[in-house]
Amino acid sequence: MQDKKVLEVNHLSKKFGKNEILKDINGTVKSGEVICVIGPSGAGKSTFLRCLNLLEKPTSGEVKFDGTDLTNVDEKQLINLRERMGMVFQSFNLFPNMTVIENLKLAPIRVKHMKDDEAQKVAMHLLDRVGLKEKANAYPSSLSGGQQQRVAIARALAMNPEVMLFDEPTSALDPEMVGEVLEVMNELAKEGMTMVVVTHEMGFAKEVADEVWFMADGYILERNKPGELFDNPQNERAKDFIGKIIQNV
Amino acid sequence: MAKKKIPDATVKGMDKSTDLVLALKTHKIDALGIEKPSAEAYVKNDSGLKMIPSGYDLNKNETGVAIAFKKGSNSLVTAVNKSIDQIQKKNLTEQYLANAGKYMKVNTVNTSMFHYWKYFAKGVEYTVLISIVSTFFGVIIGVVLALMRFSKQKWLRGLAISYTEFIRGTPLMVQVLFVYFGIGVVVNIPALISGMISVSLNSGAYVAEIIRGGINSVAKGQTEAAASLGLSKGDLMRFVILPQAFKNIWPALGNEFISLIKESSIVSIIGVTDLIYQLNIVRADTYRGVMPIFVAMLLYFIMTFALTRVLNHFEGKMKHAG
Ligand SMILES: Nc1ncnc2c1ncn2[C@@H]1O[C@H](COP(=O)(O)OP(=O)(O)OP(=O)(O)O)[C@@H](O)[C@H]1O
Ligand SMILES: [Mg+2]
Repeated sequence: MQDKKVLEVNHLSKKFGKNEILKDINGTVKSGEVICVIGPSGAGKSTFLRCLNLLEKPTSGEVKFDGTDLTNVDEKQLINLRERMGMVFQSFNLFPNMTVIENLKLAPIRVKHMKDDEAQKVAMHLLDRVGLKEKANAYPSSLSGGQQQRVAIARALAMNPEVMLFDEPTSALDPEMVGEVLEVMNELAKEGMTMVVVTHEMGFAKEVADEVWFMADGYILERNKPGELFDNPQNERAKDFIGKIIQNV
Repeated sequence: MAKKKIPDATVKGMDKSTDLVLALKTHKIDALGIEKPSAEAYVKNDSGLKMIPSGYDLNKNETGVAIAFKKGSNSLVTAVNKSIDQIQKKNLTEQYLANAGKYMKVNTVNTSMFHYWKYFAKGVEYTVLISIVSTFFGVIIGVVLALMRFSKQKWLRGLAISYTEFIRGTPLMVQVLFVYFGIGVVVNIPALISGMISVSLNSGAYVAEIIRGGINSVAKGQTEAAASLGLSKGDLMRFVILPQAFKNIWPALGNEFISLIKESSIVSIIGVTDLIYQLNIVRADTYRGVMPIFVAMLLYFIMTFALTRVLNHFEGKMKHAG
């Protein structure tokens, strides 16, 4: 079970027009693994993550999820596979026209055809887990950034996904709210969720990541245990980059 | 004609005698040549006016009167010619003129605007009727056009774009005339229906743009979040995009309805008895130039203001829910 490949990426490339943003990316994510992706702005981290659930269509290469190549399935199958992957965005992207609980219930009811009371139970349980039970009937605009992001995580979890993708989930937050979100992610990792996290939070990466991938210029230039990569980077670009983020902390 | 008879005069043309009298009173023109019965009516109604018999020495050719007939109605033409001959032979003209003077409705007794409330009410009724019907069909046409704009079929998109651009690039007045006379060649439709058709077609193009703008204004992240949850395109539209788009669409649509009330006034040119048309009737009837305009202006304002209040009420309700 531990060795089951959840995601497998082979020779992935992505062009925007003539601009090749991802060039020959390879990698596997096994069940229960937590991968942190770091790298300078414009390296292609978000594009890579979005290729994993095909929000962005790869130009060439394979993205296999649970053995199925996502680049080769029709729209309907894609939607079926996508509901098994959760995604959390930098800018939360909660639906502002719905209350918190409605945000959580929408996909389970519409996509999984869950009954309303069952969806309600699942949603309340998840809100309790992220510490926001009392906000169930609030609208997202009345929540702080940290609270919104925790709701966004709960919303993704409501679909009971097999893997969670996070794109810089804390970088739009005020510093005092980063902790509450990382704590939720930390627990999730400890419960065995498979996760791919684009983040520059070294503390988090060191504590929960099995591997850190360093990306620059559309390539994964180095992958290593977090301790190794942060304290003793082999790649020159990685050394340079890590030097900079340590200075900033 | 006046040019020949009065030296140093510049001639200004207008089509309605009420407008001409008004121009005279506001010193835009110095004098007004007009038929005797009309002049009498104006002078009776307004002490600031004075009638001067022109004493023009006009020959028969210059006072000619023509009667228009439908092409091909030969028997009618002969009949009319026959009567005219008889009238001239028996010299009945003098007698007719006296009668006409009696019949001509010169209302100089009660020219208060309240006396004409039925006229204005009819005008308001038609203006409201045209606006409501055109709003309704305008929204339907607009939704269809907007859907076409988001279609996968290139030709559907092209068709919607061409239509919208063409409507927005031509004056409503021309569209009204084109529908009335253009379609009139094929099937005879009443002026009111023509007016409603043309205003609806026009409004549809603007509504389509409003809907498209509203949908495009919803943040891209919303679509991505919905897609990442596995929502279908239909559910994405229904539960996420449209409710949010509607908040932007609603105020813009409200403005469109309000301008529709005002713009629909153009249908008076094809003889639809809307408020503008009625106001001109009242002007002609009372020989009062300004007051009917003022009343119509007030009525338009009351209509648009009431609508604004209603729309604001709903907008406030929606804000509360979001
Ligand atoms: N839809 C798009 N169309 C064109 N170019 C794009 C698109 N999305 C991303 N890019 C370009 O791809 C490059 C990589 O973008 P990406 O967002 O993946 O970088 P990133 O590593 O996530 O950076 P950051 O740390 O700033 O988020 C950038 O130069 C960006 O301009
Ligand atoms: Mg990014």
